[in-house]
Amino acid sequence: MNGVEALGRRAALLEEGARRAQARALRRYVLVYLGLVPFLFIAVFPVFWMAITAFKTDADLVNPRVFPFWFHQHPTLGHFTYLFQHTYYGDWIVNTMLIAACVSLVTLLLGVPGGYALARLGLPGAENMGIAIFLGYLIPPILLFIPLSRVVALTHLIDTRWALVLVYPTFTVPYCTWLLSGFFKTVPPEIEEAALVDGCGRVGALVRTVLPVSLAGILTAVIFAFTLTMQDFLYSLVYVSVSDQKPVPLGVATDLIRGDVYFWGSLMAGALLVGVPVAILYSFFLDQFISGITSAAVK
Amino acid sequence: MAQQAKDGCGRRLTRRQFLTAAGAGAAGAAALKLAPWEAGAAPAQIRGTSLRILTWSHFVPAYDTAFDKYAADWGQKNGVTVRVDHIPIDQLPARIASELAAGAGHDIFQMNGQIQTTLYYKNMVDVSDICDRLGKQGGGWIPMAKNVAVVGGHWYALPEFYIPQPVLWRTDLFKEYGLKVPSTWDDLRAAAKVGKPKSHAAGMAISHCNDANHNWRAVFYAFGVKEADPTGKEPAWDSKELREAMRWSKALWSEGMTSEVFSWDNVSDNRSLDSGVAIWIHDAISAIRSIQDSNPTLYNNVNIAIDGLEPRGPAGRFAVVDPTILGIWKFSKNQAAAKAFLEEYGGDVKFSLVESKGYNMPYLKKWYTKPMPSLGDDPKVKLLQDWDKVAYVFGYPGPATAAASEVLSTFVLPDMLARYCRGEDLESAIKWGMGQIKSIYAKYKS
Amino acid sequence: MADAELAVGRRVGVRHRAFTRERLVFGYSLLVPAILYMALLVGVPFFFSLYLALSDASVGNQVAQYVGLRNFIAIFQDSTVRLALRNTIVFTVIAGIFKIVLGTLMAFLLVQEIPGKKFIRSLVVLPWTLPVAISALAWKWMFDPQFSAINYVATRLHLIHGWPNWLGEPGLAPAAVIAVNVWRGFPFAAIVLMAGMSAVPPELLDAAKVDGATFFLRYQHIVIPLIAPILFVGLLFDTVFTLSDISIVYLLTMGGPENFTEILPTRAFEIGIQAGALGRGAAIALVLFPILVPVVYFLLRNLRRREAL
Repeated sequence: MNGVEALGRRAALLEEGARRAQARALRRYVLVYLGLVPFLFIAVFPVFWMAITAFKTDADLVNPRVFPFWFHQHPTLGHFTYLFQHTYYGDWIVNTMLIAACVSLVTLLLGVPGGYALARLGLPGAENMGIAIFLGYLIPPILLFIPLSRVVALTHLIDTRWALVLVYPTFTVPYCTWLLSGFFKTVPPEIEEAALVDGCGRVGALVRTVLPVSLAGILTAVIFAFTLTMQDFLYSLVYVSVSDQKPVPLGVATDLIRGDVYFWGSLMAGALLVGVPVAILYSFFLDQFISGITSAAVK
Repeated sequence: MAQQAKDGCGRRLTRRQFLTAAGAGAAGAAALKLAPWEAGAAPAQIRGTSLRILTWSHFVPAYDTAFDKYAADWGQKNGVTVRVDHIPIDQLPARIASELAAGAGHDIFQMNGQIQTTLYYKNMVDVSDICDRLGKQGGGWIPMAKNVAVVGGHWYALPEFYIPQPVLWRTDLFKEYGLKVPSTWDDLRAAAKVGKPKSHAAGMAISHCNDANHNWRAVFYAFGVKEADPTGKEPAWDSKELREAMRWSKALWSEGMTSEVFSWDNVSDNRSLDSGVAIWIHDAISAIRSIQDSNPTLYNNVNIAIDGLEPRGPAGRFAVVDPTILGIWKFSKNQAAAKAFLEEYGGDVKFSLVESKGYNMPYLKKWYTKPMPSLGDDPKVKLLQDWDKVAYVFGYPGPATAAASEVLSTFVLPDMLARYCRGEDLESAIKWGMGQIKSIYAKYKS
Repeated sequence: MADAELAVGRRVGVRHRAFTRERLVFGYSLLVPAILYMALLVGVPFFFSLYLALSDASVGNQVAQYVGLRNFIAIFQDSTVRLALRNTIVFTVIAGIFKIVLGTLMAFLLVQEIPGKKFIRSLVVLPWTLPVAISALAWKWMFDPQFSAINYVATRLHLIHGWPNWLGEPGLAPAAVIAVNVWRGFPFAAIVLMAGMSAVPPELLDAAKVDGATFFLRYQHIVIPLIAPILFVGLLFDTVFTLSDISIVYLLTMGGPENFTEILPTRAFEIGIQAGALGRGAAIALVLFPILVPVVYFLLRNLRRREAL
């Protein structure tokens, strides 16, 4: 009897504790959510507004007398269909993806060996060389684009998307080489030595041992390359004037502003169609991205 | 220096090729006093070549479609593959600068508003022959054409068209408030004063935008302000007239406009008119084209221009227009086709007038005989048929020099006026402006 | 015996030296592509633009006379350039502070384990992933003097009185420009700081908690020193972006009203490209360079030095 009672009391206590822990967790959730509300509001409000614009009819959009954040006429997909039927939006997406992929590839091809050499091989002057490469990132495009035009012209790539594959690494390589070199420093030297002893050779050791454990760093570099590619405007403007060769940001900003007519709905639709998927991708890779930055910065 | 020499090397071959090729044609043409392409048939030398044209995104989007088709048709007729690229007006200068640095890009390019012929002419093909012929056929060029296309007696570009910016005013509101039909800038100021308290303020941007530059220049010229001497070398802003224009403009702003105008861009005044707010604005007619179908009542209530011209000021009537010109790069490997195209397009003023619905105003005098194509048929825009009498360009009375262009692109005039409107002392605002202008002109003198 | 030992020693030495030489050759050949690319596409154009800054080049005459430091003297006599320099520094510093504060707070919330974390994260990184040229246009529309959505909301919530003209008032326009920059940049600051926070070993914090250190003490002595290097790096990346980005100012205000939002890159663009004075434009774009280079150099050096500790 006593034993049973004691058991019961213990169960009750446990239950009580669990409930309290649950309540505490719940309280914490609520607090965190509440804390996040203003940030979400700041971050999302303009995006929400862009989304509303993308689905609004034009007449609804410029009506100053109604609440601007909701629909007063039926939402429309017209701005999206306009993008695909009356502009080169399909090409722009392909171009953007192609450019971003190629730029990432070039960046890795240059940045991985470069970063590895700077980080692991104890080269004399490695640190200064690394910084020198990074300093390239400091030169503003506004200064560079005129002389760079000549280089682009020499390759006969002007007015093709490949011109951008050629010039975008000017800002991704410094950034990513530096990041990667930081990342490679975190790989324990023993792994590599073991591979060397196994007769892999230096390149083999790099490819077979260091790269696989550096995936987070490489992913970070790719994400950066992607983002930086999306943020450029000036280079694409001056090197690509042909509509079907443009990347999305340029195409949207040049072909959807016709004189003093802004195709607001299509502009916003065009921006969201690339911005949102990238944001979703980010949320998947954010943890690796974070660990990539961490090692690159402190190691 | 080295670069220039290299340029020469890179181009010499093609240029020589071109000269040999063109030489033969030119010799024949000289005998006939005709360019080879004038004879009608396309010269063999341009067949099978390709031509690239860089121009703006027209404020009348339909014109882009028409122009692309025009260029393609011309290409088909002459066996030339033509491609036209359109970019926004604000981005033309960067692209042009970059093309010259690259020595590659388009064959024909447009300058629009920001006219930089004096900077680029050494790299532009002399098209005096074309312009002389077109001038002869077209009854001569209006005086302004020379200011944007001629350097040292040679034509380096084809004056394509210019964009008039008349006053667009609400006849219904004028009637409602018992205002008389306006004729002078003072009439407009009075109307703005009446309209503002009834939330129908007038509007002209006083900000960093192209409209601000043109609109206030129209006012200032009407008060007798001169930007430079007739040669364009010495600035001539600083004057009694400038002070009067400043005082009057501030009064117009404070009586008849809101401070929204300090943040307006090229489109804001259109919106202000289109949403039924503004009693008058001063802008290109594209502002009302957009409501022609969507809001016909409002459209019908907007009148264009004052007495068919600009409003009168103490010194007369002045319109400061947005000029566009087409030039050919010297690095172009297809100058023959480029010239042939320019000559045909430059002569086809009717196409330009009709397809732009009267937005593109010609530089050739002959086309101002009434009724003008398209313009003359439209009860509203037909009032613009005398615009050649008031059309001027920045830098007046001098040509559109590099210095005048920098005064324009650094927004000295709107900034000087904004300072004064916001409460800075008149003399100190002028002193600031004159300091900017003087140092700009000084830089180009050496 | 001794001889044999010596021989072995020498052999080892030779092998080691060969090993080093081979390693150096290998290392430098790995570096060659990156260095070559940077030298050709950044180095050469950069030195050409240095030359431009010392010449009277214009857009139409890009190879011109050497004029020494005349461009630099001219630009510092230009009151607008001085104003642009001031604005550039003020904007960058204020925006930087806001981004750090907002980023830290948000990072602190985002590292908490809560349901829906991934979803929330993907929402808050949106400002950073949208092309800046287009989001700036959206902001411009939201700041529109007539249709401002911000005013619509704020006046109805009684947060503001009247109908402020965000892009037209000298006091407000710089704030608007900074706000857009902060909006775009604070998610990145948060990501970087989350990285920093995840670098703090939880055992260290627990130990400090056991020792009775208060929340703030723990932050001051453990978290902040550990986060600082990451924060600096993030800040550096972001600052460089802020300093060279012209699209926000260019699309929002074009430097107006009355140059109150003029920054060096926009001024360089106006003078160098739109007015066509290439040499002077290049000089303006270079103004910050002599300050930036040493700062970046020491920052990067010292960050990496920490690793030795």
